[in-house]
Amino acid sequence: MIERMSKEESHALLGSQRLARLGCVAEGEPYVVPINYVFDDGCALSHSLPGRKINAMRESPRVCLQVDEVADQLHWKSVLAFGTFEEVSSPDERARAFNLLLSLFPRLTPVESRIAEDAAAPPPIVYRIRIDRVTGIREG
Amino acid sequence: MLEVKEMSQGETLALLLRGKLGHLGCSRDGHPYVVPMNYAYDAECLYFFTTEGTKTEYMAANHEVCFQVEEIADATRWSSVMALGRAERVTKPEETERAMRLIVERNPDLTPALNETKIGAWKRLNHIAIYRVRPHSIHGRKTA
Repeated sequence: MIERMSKEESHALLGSQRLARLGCVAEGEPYVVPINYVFDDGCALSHSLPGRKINAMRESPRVCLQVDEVADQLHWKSVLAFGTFEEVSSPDERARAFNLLLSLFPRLTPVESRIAEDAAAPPPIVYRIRIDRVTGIREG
Repeated sequence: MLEVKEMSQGETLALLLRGKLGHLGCSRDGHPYVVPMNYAYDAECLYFFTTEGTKTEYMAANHEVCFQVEEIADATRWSSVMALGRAERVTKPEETERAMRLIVERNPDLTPALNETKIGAWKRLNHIAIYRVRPHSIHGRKTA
């Protein structure tokens, strides 16, 4: 039996997970990539090197995040959060977001390592998805 | 240090063949939609099924989909493949049977749920929509 999750339950799942699939629209077509994120004050915070997903979100800022917790095929939860992409550009906010991300993902992503290796690497983009609608379903 | 690199064609194919759960991304009027989805891949096409609803409406409005399959050990050891293509509805009886058989073989635990769905709905196939995606583009990235 598949059941709807309450808003509270859906938010709790978003808050407890660190891995999401980001769905965005690139040149009119869907584009899905796994990302690490942290849920902070109604937003999912993440960072990335410049590339296709960042270009897609700049062009088309409506995105979704799918987050799940799957025990097996008959026991799972899946939440879909819809929101808007925003780049975090003010130095204070960037520093705060970066610290939060680094505290949770100390070794994460090519971002830090490439920067450490290559002074000419492009600066990472820090962004948030401001979530305005959440739906969740569960089974078992 | 974490290095991410492109996967070879052989690696992306192998991952798609090994996998059984992926994420289907659809979009409509600039709005993306992503759902977890059990699937089967026969090295040519991906097959999956769903009940009529938001996903089928999205795919009717825009056939282009993105099917993403990942293997993630942790944040520093993962690979992820993305297959892009048109979602086509499978309607011919022999094709639907073959597609369902492939999906269920790949996902044996689905059978109880499938049996429930079958009651009443299976015979009237319009409740279950089966799709095929022949990817026009497949690529993947993995940690080194």
